[in-house]
Amino acid sequence: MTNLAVEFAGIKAKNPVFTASGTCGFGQELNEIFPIDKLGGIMVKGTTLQPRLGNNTPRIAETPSGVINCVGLQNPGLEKVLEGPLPWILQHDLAVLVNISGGEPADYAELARAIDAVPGVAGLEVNISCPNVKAGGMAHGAHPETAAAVMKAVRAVTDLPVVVKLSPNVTDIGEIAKAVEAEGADAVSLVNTFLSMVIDVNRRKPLLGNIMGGLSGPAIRPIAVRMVWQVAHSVKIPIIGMGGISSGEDALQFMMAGANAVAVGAATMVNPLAPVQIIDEMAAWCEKEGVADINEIVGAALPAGVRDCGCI
Amino acid sequence: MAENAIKKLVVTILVIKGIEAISAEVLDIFAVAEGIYEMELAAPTVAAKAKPGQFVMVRPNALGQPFLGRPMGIYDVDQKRGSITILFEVHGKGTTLLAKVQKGDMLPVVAPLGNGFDVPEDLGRALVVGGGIGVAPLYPLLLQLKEQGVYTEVLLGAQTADRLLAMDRLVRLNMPVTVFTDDGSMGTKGYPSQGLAELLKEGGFETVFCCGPMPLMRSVAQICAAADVPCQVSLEERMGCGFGICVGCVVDHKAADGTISKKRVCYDGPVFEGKEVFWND
Repeated sequence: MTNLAVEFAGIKAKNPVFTASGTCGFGQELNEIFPIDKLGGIMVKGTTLQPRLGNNTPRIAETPSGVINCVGLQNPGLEKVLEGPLPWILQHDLAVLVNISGGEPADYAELARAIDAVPGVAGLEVNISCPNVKAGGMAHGAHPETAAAVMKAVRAVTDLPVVVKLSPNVTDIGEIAKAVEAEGADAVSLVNTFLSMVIDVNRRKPLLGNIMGGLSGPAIRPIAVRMVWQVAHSVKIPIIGMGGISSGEDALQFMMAGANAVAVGAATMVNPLAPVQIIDEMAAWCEKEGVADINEIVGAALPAGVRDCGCI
Repeated sequence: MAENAIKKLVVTILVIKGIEAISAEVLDIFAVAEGIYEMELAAPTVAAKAKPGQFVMVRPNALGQPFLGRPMGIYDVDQKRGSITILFEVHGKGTTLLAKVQKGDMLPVVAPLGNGFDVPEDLGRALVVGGGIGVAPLYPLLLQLKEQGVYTEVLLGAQTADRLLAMDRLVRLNMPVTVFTDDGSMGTKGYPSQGLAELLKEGGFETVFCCGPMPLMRSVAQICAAADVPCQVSLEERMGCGFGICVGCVVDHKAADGTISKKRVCYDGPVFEGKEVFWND
């Protein structure tokens, strides 16, 4: 039996498969379909200080091998999250990363401080990359300085492992990763969705309620693998890789490009069992290849010396 | 003790919704009108637990094209054959491909989904209003109403006589059915919402159930609200997942206590109380 357990950035998980924020709620819906503690971990729905109603419909547009969404961080707000969904998910045996999003660095700090006080949280995922909100979101993730400012504000208030979720909608994702690493980020997760849009030709108007949305699904996977590879060259901190992972082989690609763990997103929307099947497929591949510990394959495709940092 | 065990079992069944992701064989597919198809899928476990008003997410293949499933109301259930039947109209790429599948093909299905209709135990008189393809989730409801001994009348609309659906099944129920067609080619010319206000005044109906095009559901819900008759509508919205995780298919909702929120059609619905929905489209 291959060891599937991973430990990175102070986060322990029984296997390297997480579900990506925004495609698993707080785990309650998926738990009606399979026992959620089969997962290595979960990145819960993006949480903001105040409740958010989110954007108008249509919020979903299907694309070739993918889907664009413009949900807009609909969530009940910090207070309600702390009352119900978060205590519920923390009763389960999986690593819970709480995804936080805000308008100003101070908002992120307030969220981080509140969640720091909750026992059992595995870490924070700091969302500086949501393409669907006007204030904050992706605006923070677009520049090294603003990304660093958010990370600095969060670091000042918590010792929890902090994973910064990076936007792919930038010229040089490695620069952003370096900026947050310098401010004490424990890990980075990438990629969030790609800014995109669809025109409804019959109405001669944008299809989505928010005009633009974020593209995810297998369509983006090769670009996401490339970005994980580049970030693995740019920084020393661990990486959680995501972007269109639909099979064990897809997940292994991200790990070999340097990711210590992966997250499944759009695939879960199509097949709720996808994250579990991906774990099984990864395990089967490791057995077949005689891999004793899945951590051995992290960065396996990288040139020698790139990640010789003790972080793999 | 035995009674307690049964109670516990009942509670367990209610708690576990039992959504399944399966590969379902196409047992039959045929056109019932131009561009409208009936498809029977082998899904014994789904057939065993599906409730009236629930739906399935189905894809025409397992190849990832199209990427997302398509929501389809469960139109019929055959426990003996272990099958469920859906009814769908071709209006895009996904349904075009779905119309081309063959008997024996295996389709990815996630089911059963959604809350379904809520039929009060003591319901005496019900009015069921359907339009076009919207009759699909209403047929299992009609079966349940009949089984519960609820006096039920049906108002059924379609664009034309050839596109009037489910009549083959409805005749077997021995319920009064009033037919409406947009062009008058069968029954009364117009929509099933016509004359509804008067019917509600005289008919003593305690609940109205409705599924059909949005404009029909909106007017039925508004007429029911004015007449102070509860009205359950089964909504349709562009869906991502079908089981609540993506929060893509929301509808503006005002709860009885005044709370305004965006509810997921797939998970919190698809059946909602008509007066709690904002009909702003």
